[in-house]
Amino acid sequence: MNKSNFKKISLIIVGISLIAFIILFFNFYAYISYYNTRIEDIQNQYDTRLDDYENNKNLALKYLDIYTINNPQKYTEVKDSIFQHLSENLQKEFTDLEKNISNDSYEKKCIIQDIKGTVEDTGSQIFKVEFKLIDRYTNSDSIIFITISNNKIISATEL
Amino acid sequence: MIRTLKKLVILTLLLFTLTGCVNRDEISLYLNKEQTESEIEKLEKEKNQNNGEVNRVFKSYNTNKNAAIRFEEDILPYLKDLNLIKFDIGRRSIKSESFLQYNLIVFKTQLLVDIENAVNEELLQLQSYSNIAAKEAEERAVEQIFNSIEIDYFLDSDTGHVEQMIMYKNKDGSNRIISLTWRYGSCSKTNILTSGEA
Repeated sequence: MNKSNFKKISLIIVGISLIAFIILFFNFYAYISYYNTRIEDIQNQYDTRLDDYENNKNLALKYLDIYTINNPQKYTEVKDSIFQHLSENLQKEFTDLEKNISNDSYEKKCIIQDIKGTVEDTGSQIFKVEFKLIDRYTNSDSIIFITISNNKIISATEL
Repeated sequence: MIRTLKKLVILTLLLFTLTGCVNRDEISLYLNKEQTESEIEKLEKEKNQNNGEVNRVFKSYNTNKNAAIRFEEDILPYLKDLNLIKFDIGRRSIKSESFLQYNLIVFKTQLLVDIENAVNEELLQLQSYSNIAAKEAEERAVEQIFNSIEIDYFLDSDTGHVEQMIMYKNKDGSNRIISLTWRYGSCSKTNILTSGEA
């Protein structure tokens, strides 16, 4: 093979490889772009009307853990999960609670029977929770109204 | 020949560099197109399921809330008419009619007692008694209680059922509440609640 033929064949091979590579490259990017668009579409089409409600509902349910505090260890556990979501007043109430904790080995249970919520004109959400409280001595039904605004529990009123 | 080889090496390096710019996850997505497609399908299915569920809840919520509002339009004049004791349920969609009738009478009686208590409290504050002053005190007490009437619709986000709560506030801060639960556009449960001092 002379020098000129080698050059031609090399150029053809390089040319074909280049075209194949470019086609592959475009094909790849077209697919990735199609993938991203579909994922974005799915995310945009998600009906998120209840998301905020559900997040606040979970926060309200978390608040009821306060009723299950039976010893200092449980107090710390509940504090870690809820304290940052309490308003200043409720934080103070929660801190005061620490002084009155007994060290009971008997587990306190809070069974949720019903939870419903409503949105106020101010944007805050109120949850009405019906629950059963079971401990060593009592087995009682209670209702509590928990108001949440900007991801903070601002009031909790038991009936 | 050496120049051609040089060009080939440069071109190869260029292609390698270009390939290096591509995200590895994206390469994996491209190479496993079938798996990627099935994941997209799964996400699409999840989205449809979520949207269907949210729509179902809101459709049910709107049906129940509208029924609650229609009922409330009838019940408010009854509560505000101090001479009416019994409420005529008529042809409204109520499941446990007699229980609602009973709770309404209890609620209305409680309302009348609360008004009377508020009037007495007003009268105690008067310097001297006169029929006009007493009448005015009654009007003020009635107005105060009726102005405090608040109605909320609590949604059960799992079912779309609605709990309608009609409440008023007393002078001492306590609340009287009548709760009506609406399911499938019909009132299925009623309850009376009283909260302590706020």
